[in-house]
Amino acid sequence: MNIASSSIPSPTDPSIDARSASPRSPTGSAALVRVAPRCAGAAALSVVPALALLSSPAHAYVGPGAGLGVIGTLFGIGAAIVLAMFGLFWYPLKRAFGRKSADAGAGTNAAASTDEPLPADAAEPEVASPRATAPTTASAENARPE
Amino acid sequence: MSAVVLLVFAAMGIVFHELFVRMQVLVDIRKVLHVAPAASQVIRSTTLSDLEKERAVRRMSLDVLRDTVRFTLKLALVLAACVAVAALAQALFEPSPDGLEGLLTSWWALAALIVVMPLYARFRSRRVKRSAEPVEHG
Repeated sequence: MNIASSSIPSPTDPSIDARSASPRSPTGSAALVRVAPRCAGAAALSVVPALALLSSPAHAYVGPGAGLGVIGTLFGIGAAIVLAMFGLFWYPLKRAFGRKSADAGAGTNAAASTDEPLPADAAEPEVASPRATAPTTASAENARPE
Repeated sequence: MSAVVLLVFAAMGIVFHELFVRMQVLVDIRKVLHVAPAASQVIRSTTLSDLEKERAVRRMSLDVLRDTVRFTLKLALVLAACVAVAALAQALFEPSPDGLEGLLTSWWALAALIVVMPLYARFRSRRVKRSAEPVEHG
């Protein structure tokens, strides 16, 4: 059995895309993106024991009061950062993407309505948001002369 | 030497307890710790709109940061006061030959604080209860 011919493709094999070997190609950059976090994680994991072994005594003492204070402070700062991420990034992005998808949906509906005209006996289209219509209806009822 | 050290740590425990209670450090710590369930409720709420959630979360973020800074400063002040008491005693009586570090890390500190703090907390709570009781006239 010829292993070389069966499993290892030859360089002249037309099934191999030459761009896949290039780091600048999209396939190469995708592989780089996949591998880079693993390398960073491995480097970080190797640095931690090295720092622990090479550290010198600090001649310092952290009591329970200061220790709990530091833990509480770290918790508070972490909670503030997480909440700020939610408030500054998550909800604005969600709103922006939701608006974009709503615009896209409205555009699709408009295109569909122009392409396919409604039949004459078609019912009125349902309103998507009852919250949007409720104040209008109420204000209309209030404005109605008695 | 040990009697002076015990007295110093008893004084430190009383100072710590009084400042901790009077400056209401625990209230600020509770505020910080209660942010997580409150934020979770806001984020998972089905009645609030995204805009309301965004505003509430931003406000909570600033609030928790302010409370964290406040309780950290208060705690640092309390601990600095305790260290100041120990430094004063060390400067006046030199109870520890190893200096202030030796005084603060001695086993007498643990023993004195374990005994003094619960006793003082109990004494203080009784005194507060007694002062809170209504005074009967006639």
